[in-house]
Amino acid sequence: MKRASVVLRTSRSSLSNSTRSRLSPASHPGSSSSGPFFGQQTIRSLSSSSKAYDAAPSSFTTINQSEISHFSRLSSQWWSPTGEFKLLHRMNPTRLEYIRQRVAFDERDEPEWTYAGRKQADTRGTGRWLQGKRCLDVGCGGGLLSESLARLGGDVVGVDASESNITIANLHASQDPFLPYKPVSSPLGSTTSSSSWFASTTTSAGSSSIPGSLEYRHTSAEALRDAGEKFDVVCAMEVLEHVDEPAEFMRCLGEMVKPGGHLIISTISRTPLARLLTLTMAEDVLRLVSPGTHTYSKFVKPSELRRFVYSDMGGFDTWEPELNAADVRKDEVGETKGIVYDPLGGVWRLWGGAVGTISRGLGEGCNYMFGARKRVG
Amino acid sequence: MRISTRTIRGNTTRLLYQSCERSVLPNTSLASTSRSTNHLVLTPTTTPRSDFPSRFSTRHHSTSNSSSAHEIITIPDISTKDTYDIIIIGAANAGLALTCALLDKPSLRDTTRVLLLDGGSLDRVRSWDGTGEWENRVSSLTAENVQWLRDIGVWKYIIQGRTCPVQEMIVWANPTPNATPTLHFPPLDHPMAHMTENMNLQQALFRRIDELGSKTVDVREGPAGRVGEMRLGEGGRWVGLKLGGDQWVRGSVVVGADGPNSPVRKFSGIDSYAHGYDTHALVATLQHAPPSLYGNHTAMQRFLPTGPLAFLPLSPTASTLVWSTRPAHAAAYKRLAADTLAEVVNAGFTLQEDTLARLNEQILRADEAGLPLAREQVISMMPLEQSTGDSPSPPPITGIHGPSVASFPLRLSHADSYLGTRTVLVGDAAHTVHPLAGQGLNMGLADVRSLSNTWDRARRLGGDLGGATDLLPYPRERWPANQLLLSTTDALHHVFRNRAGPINWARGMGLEVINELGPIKKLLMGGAGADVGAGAGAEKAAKGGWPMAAASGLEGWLGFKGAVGLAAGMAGEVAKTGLRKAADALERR
Ligand SMILES: Cc1cc2nc3c(=O)[nH]c(=O)nc-3n(C[C@H](O)[C@H](O)[C@H](O)COP(=O)(O)OP(=O)(O)OC[C@H]3O[C@@H](n4cnc5c(N)ncnc54)[C@H](O)[C@@H]3O)c2cc1C
Repeated sequence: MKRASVVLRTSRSSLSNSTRSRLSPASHPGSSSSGPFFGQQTIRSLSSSSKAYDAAPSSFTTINQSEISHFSRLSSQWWSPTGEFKLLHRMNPTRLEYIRQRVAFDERDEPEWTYAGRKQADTRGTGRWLQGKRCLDVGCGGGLLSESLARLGGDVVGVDASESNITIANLHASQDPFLPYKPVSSPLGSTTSSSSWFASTTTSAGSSSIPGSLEYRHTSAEALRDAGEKFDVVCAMEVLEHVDEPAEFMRCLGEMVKPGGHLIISTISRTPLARLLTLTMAEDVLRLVSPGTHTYSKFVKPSELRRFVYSDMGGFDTWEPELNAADVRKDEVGETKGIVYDPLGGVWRLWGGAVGTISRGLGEGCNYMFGARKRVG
Repeated sequence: MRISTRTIRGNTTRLLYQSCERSVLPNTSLASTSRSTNHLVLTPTTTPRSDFPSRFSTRHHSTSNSSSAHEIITIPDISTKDTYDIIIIGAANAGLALTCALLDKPSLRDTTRVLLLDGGSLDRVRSWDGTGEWENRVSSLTAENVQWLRDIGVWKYIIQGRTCPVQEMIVWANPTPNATPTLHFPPLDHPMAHMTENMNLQQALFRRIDELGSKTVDVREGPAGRVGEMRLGEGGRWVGLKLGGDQWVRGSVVVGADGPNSPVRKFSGIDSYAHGYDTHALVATLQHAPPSLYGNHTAMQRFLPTGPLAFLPLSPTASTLVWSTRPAHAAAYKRLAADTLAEVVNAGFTLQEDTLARLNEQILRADEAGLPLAREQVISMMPLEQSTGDSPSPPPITGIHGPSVASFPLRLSHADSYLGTRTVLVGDAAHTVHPLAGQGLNMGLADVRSLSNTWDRARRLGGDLGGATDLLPYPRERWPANQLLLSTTDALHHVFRNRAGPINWARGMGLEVINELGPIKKLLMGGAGADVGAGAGAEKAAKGGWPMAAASGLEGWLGFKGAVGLAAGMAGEVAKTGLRKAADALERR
């Protein structure tokens, strides 16, 4: 944690530049420099952070007021519902809808039908439907998904390779008395939480009575895996397309899923449409994200992902077949569903349609979700 | 903006951002970014029509309070007990209905702590049992809203003897009263609406809250429920409220269900478009003989040049009056003896327009002289003209319950946005409308329904109840629908009131014109809660009430444009620009 101080001490302008680009939705998280799964030529903007990472711990002890306000500003940018990350914010409920469909409505978890219980209201997916479930958000960024998972009662660990993202996420969560937030240590580099501005903010937050928990860690998926951590729900949103070793990355995530747990991925497909939207439009024309953040060849098609989990991650010995008959394929594991933007409604929508149809295929032509469930035994 | 200093763990005080500086905070709202919080909203009396385009103007008020922007506010730490997910300010129709709507959602019922605040006492609501005199605040609840109240378990608490189904509706816009009605909505297979005292609705809502909310809903009322100050918490993740007795509470989101002068709207720095109608609504409880064997189930409204006069059934022998007229007339009417006023109301329904105008002149003159007109004097003007035909008319009024006579200034207002930073507006806090279509409270109920659905979804998906992204579906659904309804009602008011142009305009054109104006017809009828129209429109109207149908349907939009054009022709420049701007506003949304 102390390493962060180096980042904090770089000149204001360079800091804000590098942090900004690292915060963009594309270069978003996970794309760290550590571990064998993230290649050496990661996103340009990460180089500064990896330098900071390697630097020796400094003598940083106290918290600088201007650093707090600097991060407050970054956090407010990241979290602004109308700012640069507007579309990302709006995608969040749709991702959660997908997770809800997978986790809360799995027929295998339904209680047995009884005559007496026939009139009971179906409350699946209402209230805190993640309560009691340990959730991992790999590449948590500013904490958009993590906060939602925590509000749903989950015991959430958000990890990100960017220290600045973790700082933002910590700052944001610590100020919200409605989150079951657990400060691990000061995000601003101080290890002595007694003097931490953060910790003090949280003490009165009243989070003790709120179900679930939320903590952020500046670490990588591999480090967690190596530490033997297991989760009921493992999520990695828009990370897969940024890693150099997607196969390793996927295997790592799969290993952390508990028996009966869920693996949920969102990523971008490798289609001409995706190329147009993410590379040509977003990077070159509209400059929504800095050019170079995406590499077309890294994109994975839905069918490739499903087949990979079948052939390389244990297949049906490890993963449940999909219940929906139409989704069962003998050499593919899991389900994929497109996420498309509806400009009229200003919202993202999950794209339905029968598997194998043109409509379903088109829906998965750019952003899509992947879900698979691990076998219990 | 800076955080003025830090807080130390365990400290009892916390420094907050001055709310004026909110523009740079996280989660800054869509609407209030560059606005000062202390800027006062336009009020009808001080706002000429030319101020209409407030939402497009570039007026910024943020500099006006720069001196106070650096003021440091310290508020005590707020305990978990005083930390709520949703704080609703205003425990009247909208606030109570919202609470019931939230309690109806399984995802919110057990997980969401709600605090309901009202500066007044709720004792009357609690103890109201429907045995006393008729209340003078009565609303027609549309069929759609009655159904919804049934669905959420509120209607079972409505005291049935004190709600009156409306089966039929008749509207005149002719100078001669005994002419054929301009519009006649014959009975359907279900009541178009239910005339219900606001108190009856509120007591029913309150009982439902008692039934379901004992664990999650707190109510604070009277001085302890009066909101003095509001501050945005550090980091913009909550709003703190200072109540009477310097007690602070905080919420993830604060709902302004606090009526037309909404303190929440002011705190949120949300401008609103508003203009007065130079009209007051006189209300009273009318006594009469049963109009027919079948009881009293017909709502009647006559459009007079001074404004509409409405007769709304309560029971076989009682009806409620809503007479929108010039403030001076309303004031003079109020000073009449109750029995005299009863005759004036009869005159209002039976006299020709020009004769009525002469009567009004006499009433005003006598009132100015300090000698209000007596009953006999009014009657002396009447017999010659008593209608003799078979055409329907209200039963003769035999008396008026004196204490029920009251008047309310009318104005149109619409908040530019329903969302502030962690604040939401519903009901009259967001919009006020001319009562001619009986839609004010109904719009508030539709708001509440939409907002509760929005939160239900947000809750199921782990959203932030006060977050702008999670709240967005609510204004997206309600703002255009309300704007269309407000504009159409406004147009209708002007169409009927400004008849200076062609003589006998209404007789010559009235019927034809009204029939042209699809949405206006629907408005009047939707005002009585009926399913209207034919074909696709009817289906939509049945599902979402006419405003939804109209808001989404081209038909409604064209009709509204027609109304704009018509009113512009009739009402001259002033109304023209106002309505044009309303049309623009609608198109921009
Ligand atoms: C003459 C007339 C006839 C009408 N007829 C109809 C009709 O037929 N149909 C229809 O649908 N509508 C009708 N309406 C409109 C309807 O009455 C209103 O739309 C409705 O009552 C608004 O309810 P509300 O809950 O939004 O606001 P309000 O009833 O104004 O309630 C606001 C509440 O907030 C509280 N409050 C305010 N400030 C604070 C504070 N600082 N702290 C704590 N509490 C606070 C107040 O005490 C109050 O209880 C009519 C209106 C009039 C004037």
